[in-house]
Amino acid sequence: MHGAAPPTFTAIAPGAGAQVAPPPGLLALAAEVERAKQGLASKGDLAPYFVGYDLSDLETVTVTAQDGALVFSGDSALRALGVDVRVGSNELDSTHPIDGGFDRSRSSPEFVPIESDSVPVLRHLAWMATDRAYRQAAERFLAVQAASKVKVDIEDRSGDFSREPAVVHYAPPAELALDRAGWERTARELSARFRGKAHVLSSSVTFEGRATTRWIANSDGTRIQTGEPGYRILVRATAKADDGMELSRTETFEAATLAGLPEPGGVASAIDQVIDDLGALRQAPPAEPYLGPAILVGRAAGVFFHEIFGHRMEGERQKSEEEGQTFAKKVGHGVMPSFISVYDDPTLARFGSTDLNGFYRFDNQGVPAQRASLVKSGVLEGFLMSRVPVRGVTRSNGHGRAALGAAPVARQANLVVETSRAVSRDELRRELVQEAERQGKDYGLLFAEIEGGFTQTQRFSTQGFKVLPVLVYRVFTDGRPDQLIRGVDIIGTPLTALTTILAAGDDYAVFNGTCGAESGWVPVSAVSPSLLVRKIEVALRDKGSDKSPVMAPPAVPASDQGSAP
Amino acid sequence: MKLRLAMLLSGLVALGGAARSAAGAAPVQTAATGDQVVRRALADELGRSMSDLVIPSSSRPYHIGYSVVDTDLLSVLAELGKTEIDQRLQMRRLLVSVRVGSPELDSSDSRDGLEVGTSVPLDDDYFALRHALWRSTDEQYKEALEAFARKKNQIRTQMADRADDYPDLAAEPPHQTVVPGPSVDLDAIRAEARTLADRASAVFAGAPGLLTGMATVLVHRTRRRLLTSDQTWADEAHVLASLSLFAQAQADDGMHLGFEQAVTLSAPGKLPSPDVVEAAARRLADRLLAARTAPLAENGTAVVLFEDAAAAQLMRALLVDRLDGSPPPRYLAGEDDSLASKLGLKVAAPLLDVYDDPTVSSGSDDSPLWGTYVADDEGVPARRVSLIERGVLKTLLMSRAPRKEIRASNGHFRLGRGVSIGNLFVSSRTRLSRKRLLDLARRKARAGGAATRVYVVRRLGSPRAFASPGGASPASAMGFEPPLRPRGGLAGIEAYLVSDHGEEPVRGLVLESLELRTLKDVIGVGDTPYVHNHLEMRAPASIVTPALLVEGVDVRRYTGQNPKLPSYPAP
Repeated sequence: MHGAAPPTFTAIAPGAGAQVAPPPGLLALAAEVERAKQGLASKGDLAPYFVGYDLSDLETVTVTAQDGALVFSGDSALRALGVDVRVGSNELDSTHPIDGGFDRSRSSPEFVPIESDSVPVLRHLAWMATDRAYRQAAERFLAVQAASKVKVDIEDRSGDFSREPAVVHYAPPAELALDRAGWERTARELSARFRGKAHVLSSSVTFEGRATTRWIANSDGTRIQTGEPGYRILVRATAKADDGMELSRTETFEAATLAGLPEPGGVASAIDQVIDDLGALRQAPPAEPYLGPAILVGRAAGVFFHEIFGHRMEGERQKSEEEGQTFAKKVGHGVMPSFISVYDDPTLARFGSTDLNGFYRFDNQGVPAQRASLVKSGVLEGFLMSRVPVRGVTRSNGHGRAALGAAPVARQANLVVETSRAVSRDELRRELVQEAERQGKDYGLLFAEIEGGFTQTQRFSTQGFKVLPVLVYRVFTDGRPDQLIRGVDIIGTPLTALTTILAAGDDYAVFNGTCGAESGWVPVSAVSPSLLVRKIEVALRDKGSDKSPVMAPPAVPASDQGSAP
Repeated sequence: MKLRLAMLLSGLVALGGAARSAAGAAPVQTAATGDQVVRRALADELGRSMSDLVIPSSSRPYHIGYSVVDTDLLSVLAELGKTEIDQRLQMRRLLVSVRVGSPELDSSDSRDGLEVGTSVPLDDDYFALRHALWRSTDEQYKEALEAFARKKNQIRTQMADRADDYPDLAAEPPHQTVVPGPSVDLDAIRAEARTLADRASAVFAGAPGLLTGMATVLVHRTRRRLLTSDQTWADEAHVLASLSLFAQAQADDGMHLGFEQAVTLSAPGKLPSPDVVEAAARRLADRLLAARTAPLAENGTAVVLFEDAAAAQLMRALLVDRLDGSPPPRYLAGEDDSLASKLGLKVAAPLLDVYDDPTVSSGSDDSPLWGTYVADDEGVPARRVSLIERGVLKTLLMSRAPRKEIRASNGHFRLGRGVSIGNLFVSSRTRLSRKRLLDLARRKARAGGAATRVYVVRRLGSPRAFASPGGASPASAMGFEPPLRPRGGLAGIEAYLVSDHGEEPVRGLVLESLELRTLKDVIGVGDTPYVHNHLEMRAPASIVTPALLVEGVDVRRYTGQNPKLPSYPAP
């Protein structure tokens, strides 16, 4: 055991880097903000106290191939405008929870022209969208006022919208510069590695490039342009065990620059590993229900923390009385072992040489990205905050995030789990075996890969989580070689899982992915060392019942196997 | 609203089947030529599946059909002169049909034809295609076995024997159809399409009083290759194109008005000149602005002249779904909602004839018809089907799924829709000029008393459209037009009150009690057919109809609450 060196990150401050001249479209939106405020000022107590625009200009290129042939190649460009109009005051406004729950009725995003010389049209469409949003806000504010007379208010009366200073920042727009024809060639070549692999039922290799330029203008005086490029390679494959169980493997590579993506040789190796993994999984015995010690290896531990802990740190969940509020009143209390600390920091651009998916400079409400310390030495310190205050926390920490045009809520960005007491991977295995023996088990489990998961945070639900591992091994106490098993999900409730973390490794790893929640899909990362947990519960996965294909796949000439035509 | 459009566009890509043969060109029906990779992959996997695909002690497939649908689509949407959507998509979808059992009783059910299929390689890669075929065939075979067992069990335990039995699959000789179709380079016309949409929609930006206005251009080339185990091969390509205008305004009392109009394209893939489209946009804007200040409709009874799109929408709402001759599922209780019980009976006024003819490629004004094809999606040659003669129902549209009264296909199976129309023509042996129709309407109105008025309706919609601009959307202008449901009334979105002094726009007109029997109240038919191209779910179709004059229509003023006017002025 040793004091672990903290992971090495590269952070970029929100205001750092070159700036450009303010774009005319953004200035036009800013002018519309002021015009809306003035135009609606005569509405008295129904005049808006806040008007904000969040425009996303998204360019994408997507290329997908399977079995050496192109399935899809396309590009798209669109601009979506989200509008936030609030009636009332920062303390009580039109978004205030009624019946314990937040208003989710924000208008659909307005699609606006993609051409840069379209300022008059942009202003006209912004006006139409603002008028619609204003009417909704005014109507809902009256409903909030009416509800206050007949319903018990929520317990947390910390106000509805934080006051934040104005920010002005004009970063260069994002640009998408890639060789699409080259991607098509490479996707064909890489996907051809699946050719003739009889146990692989379906497969695909996808290259995606996206350039998102965002404009934020609001009545606080904030004016922001940011450019966020992103690139991804996605490898997917499925197989089927003889008992009908569906098996899948996914490998993703994400980067902020083209250069950050692996060379084709690196992707080819990953594909070969996916092919081998599926072959091994087909032969692996099905798992059995289990409650006992387990190791979550690096990336798997990151996903595990994202699902069971990160979502429950999101600010709005501490306030909405539809939510379980697992940690709402636990600030200052120990919630996990004292050697664990957790924070979320969107300003982290890289971990080592790996780009982090959750990096951004300003959130979708125009608040600078900031580190949010969630757990310090096992004690809960705070939450992920949008501009919706919660009990004892009046300011945003730059985590108000949303997909294209959706209403922002507090979300994770780069969730980092740190340990102050690390052991080597080998030591972690030894401790796993010891713990299994102590619990009278023949084996402990080792989760090497997790493809995702979900968590239920609302009161009407089980408030549990389910995490979906794909590579799980039995680590036997009698020294037998590890045994790959298949067909389990990790289930449980967060407090139980977090308080039984026994040890952490010194092997930090990154999971890059996308996360879906109330405000849509946003890119996220999770960084964690491997974790040994005293009690992990696994349940059998719904396995499907269709038999393997009746006929063998069509024969591929030996000369054609593993190569594009 | 526009998000929905984008999704619908994706839906179109999901399944093609567009039909339009080269203007004036006779369909070619020869042996297959070219593109041998796809056909060879289909034939080899089909042959292997027919001989080797069997689970021991279970039925083998007795019929397999493979459809490969290539879609190449260009769509542009501009609002107030600026482009918002500009997308070009290419996709290839595979649809596999596997039947087990026998033609007398098999695994098919009434949902056949509604599948969207799976995405398969765009490249003509023999192995990749065969791999995809292998996977889909296996899945469909297993589903067919399950469906067949379920069907047999239900028949055995739940259903009385049918008195007059008929098979599940009608016999059909093999057919060979090859229609190369016109080629169109969508990349070459992409900039032109964008300019056209920008210029057309810019007209609305210059029309004070309009809330907004859009123009859409859609060009869509599809190629469907079908190979069946009974040796039918149908390789057919078509291009369909549309250019549509949509504008929206709000009256001073808050009522919303959304007018739309399709601009006829003279040849597939060939776009009209900007001048033509701008002129059409100006006319649309003028009509909409005139309607914005128009009086409201009155309650009462009316003689209504349905013309242009409204006549086609009326026929679609009242008749099209009911022409589907698919047999009722033999294993489920429930009523047969087709018009089979009315075969040989009067369903419309004696002056009306209705037929469907997918073999016609253009309307009388040379407008391309979307519902044109040579062989349907089961490979059966399309043919003209006379549906209603002098008001009497003669037959229904059929696929190879027979029914008691009609035992053979008439070539109307459509991927993405099931049994449906191709080009539905409404005609009459007695055609009247517009002037004579209006004269007749006035005479009927005078005879009906003071509360009887005459209206001209050019476009129908849901009454909800008066409250929400979403009621008429650019999606409908692109051909994605859900059928109107007459229950609860239909709105005369673009309507005019006819008096002795002329025709004046009117707002808030709702037409009530429209149902199939309304066709018996048609008292006059115009002399100028209007072509209405649209999608029946995902199957391109056309309705070609002259104006229809209907008497005894109950009308009322829209009574819903109007939205408020904008809370502050436009920039």
